Amino acid sequence: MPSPSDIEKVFEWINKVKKFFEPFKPEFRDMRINYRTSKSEISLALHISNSLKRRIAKVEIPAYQNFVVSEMIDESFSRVQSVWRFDHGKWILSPSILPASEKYLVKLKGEVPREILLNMVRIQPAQNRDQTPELDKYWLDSMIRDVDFIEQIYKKLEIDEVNLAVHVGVQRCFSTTFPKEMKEVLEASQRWTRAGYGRDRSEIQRAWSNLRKVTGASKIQVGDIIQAIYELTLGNIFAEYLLLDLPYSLGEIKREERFMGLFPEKMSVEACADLNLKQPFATGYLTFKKKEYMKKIEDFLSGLRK
Amino acid sequence: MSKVDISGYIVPWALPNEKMPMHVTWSPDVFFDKIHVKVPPSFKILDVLNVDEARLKEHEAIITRVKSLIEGVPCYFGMIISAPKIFEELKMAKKITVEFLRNEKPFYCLELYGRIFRPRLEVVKPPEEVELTDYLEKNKLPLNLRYIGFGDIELKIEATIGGKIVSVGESVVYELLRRLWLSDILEKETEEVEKVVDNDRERRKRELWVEPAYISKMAQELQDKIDKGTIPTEVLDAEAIADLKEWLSDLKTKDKFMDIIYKRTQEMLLSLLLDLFDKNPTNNVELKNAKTVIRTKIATPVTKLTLRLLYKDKMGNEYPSIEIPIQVRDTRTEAHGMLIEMPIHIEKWENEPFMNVEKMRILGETQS
Repeated sequence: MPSPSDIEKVFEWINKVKKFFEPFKPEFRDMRINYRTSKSEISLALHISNSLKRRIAKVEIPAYQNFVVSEMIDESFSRVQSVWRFDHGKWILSPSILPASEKYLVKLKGEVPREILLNMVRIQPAQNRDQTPELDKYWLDSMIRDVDFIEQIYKKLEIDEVNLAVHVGVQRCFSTTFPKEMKEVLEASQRWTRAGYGRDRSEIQRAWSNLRKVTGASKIQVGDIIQAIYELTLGNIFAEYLLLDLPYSLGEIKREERFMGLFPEKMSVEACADLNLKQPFATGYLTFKKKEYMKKIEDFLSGLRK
Repeated sequence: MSKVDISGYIVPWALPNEKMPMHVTWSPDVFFDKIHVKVPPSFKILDVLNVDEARLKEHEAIITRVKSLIEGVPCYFGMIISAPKIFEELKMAKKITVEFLRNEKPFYCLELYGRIFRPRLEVVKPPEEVELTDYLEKNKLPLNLRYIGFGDIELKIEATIGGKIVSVGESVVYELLRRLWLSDILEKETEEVEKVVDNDRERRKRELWVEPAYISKMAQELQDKIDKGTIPTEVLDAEAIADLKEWLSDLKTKDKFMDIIYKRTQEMLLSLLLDLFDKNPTNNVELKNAKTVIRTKIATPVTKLTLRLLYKDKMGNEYPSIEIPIQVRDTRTEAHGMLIEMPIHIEKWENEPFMNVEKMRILGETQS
């Protein structure tokens, strides 16, 4: 569970920044935390009267924890351009150049320490799939650990993109789909290369004629097999075979290699959900349409045979 | 009990020791003094979420205050439980009760079921006897296996003679090292090799490309094993390892070693691709080593060999291993004391995994 000092850490830079805005009566409007990137965004309403614009020549705020002023909007919801500048580690505003509006919304972006995010939300995907002949399924579970903590930070806090990494096994999709003839090509190639590094000339000859015989019967080359694995594990291709229950949506998809080579054992699939005080938990499933995916592998390979 | 708006959720399946998250929600008009959660003795409560005041024991929790009393926020608490023991049954559902009490009297009882599944490996017709002959290629130990239940497993096969492990898993790294050493390639790169390669350079060019970082990692892994002395003596004998270590102590030779490894990527990649086929003999089983070979010197007459099958699930739960005693019939007429090689060959797999466990009804479970 988050501790009171965790709240201080979340607010550390925000409170410091707020002090600099005191003459403009700052009010927190809402706060968003992106769980995936650990970035936070806070909206602060400011009241900058014309007399203040004349009186205060410059506001300088040190960039605590590298926060960024991302946007300023006036009361007509128009973006106020080029009024903030960053100079020598400070954010600087000259109120005199602001437009006629007196009410503004300023958006500040900063970071939330990772360990606090982990204390705010609990996430867990299933360790093992449930299976049918067509599908592999993984349950997903995420929950805010303590709503009081979130409420203390701000009532309109949103925690976006709470991400769970699900490890979807794909190796067996390839190993069970690749035809037997490919294994023969591989074995023959391996025998030939092994022989090539040895000194037994007659074995080199035998291995070579065996390789010719096997490859003569098959149009598929070893390189084709590698290419197939590579192309079919590209994130955008693989995404077509995944389904996610709401409120989850698909995040990043990448190969998860045991080695750093070309052979992914699993795909790492990110499932993301937005949590907030109204929706403090999210459950659902990630479904991998393995039968369709294996059909895709088969089609890809039969394309190579033509 | 009056009709109230209370509901609960628990994840529909788990392996032994896997954390099972659950949560219970209710509408703000549900007033209670406490919530009493009881889990069966075979389960354990690990954590509660969104709770302000609670007394936690291993198998029960009494919650007196939760945190979600903010307007518009659902009232809920979360709980994490697990089944820490490995059961004999392949599937099991145990009841968890959540009682809401007012004035010490329960007015609502919610039932959830913690559902635990496990895998099992069985040997179909265990081999009773194996023959050691003069013909090396005939020495083969066949196995027929059956997988049942739930949960993907990793299987490791070991053979022991007189308590000593005599089998070796053919890791690509070890294989590479063995071949590098045995083919004298470390001494000099033979011109013969180049000639053979030249003959079909075009073909080779079309075949393979490999990430240099991968090769570098593979070479590093190999070098670390040599430096730390963790190369099994079945791969190379102690003398050869010592020679290799000395040879690698020179920085220049280290570079040469890397060069050789780079040149042999073709072979390594083929080994890896074949591993891909061999390591997943069936849908739910991955072999720790694509091939396991009994590789040892049997000089004195041996009559007994023990095969041990060790398997674990995705949680790392190790299940009771299977031991198969096998009689050895040594009919060799010559070459006693020579190195023998006997691959352990899985001839047949019967794969009977549970399907759709989410919807599976388990004895003792009533739908709530």
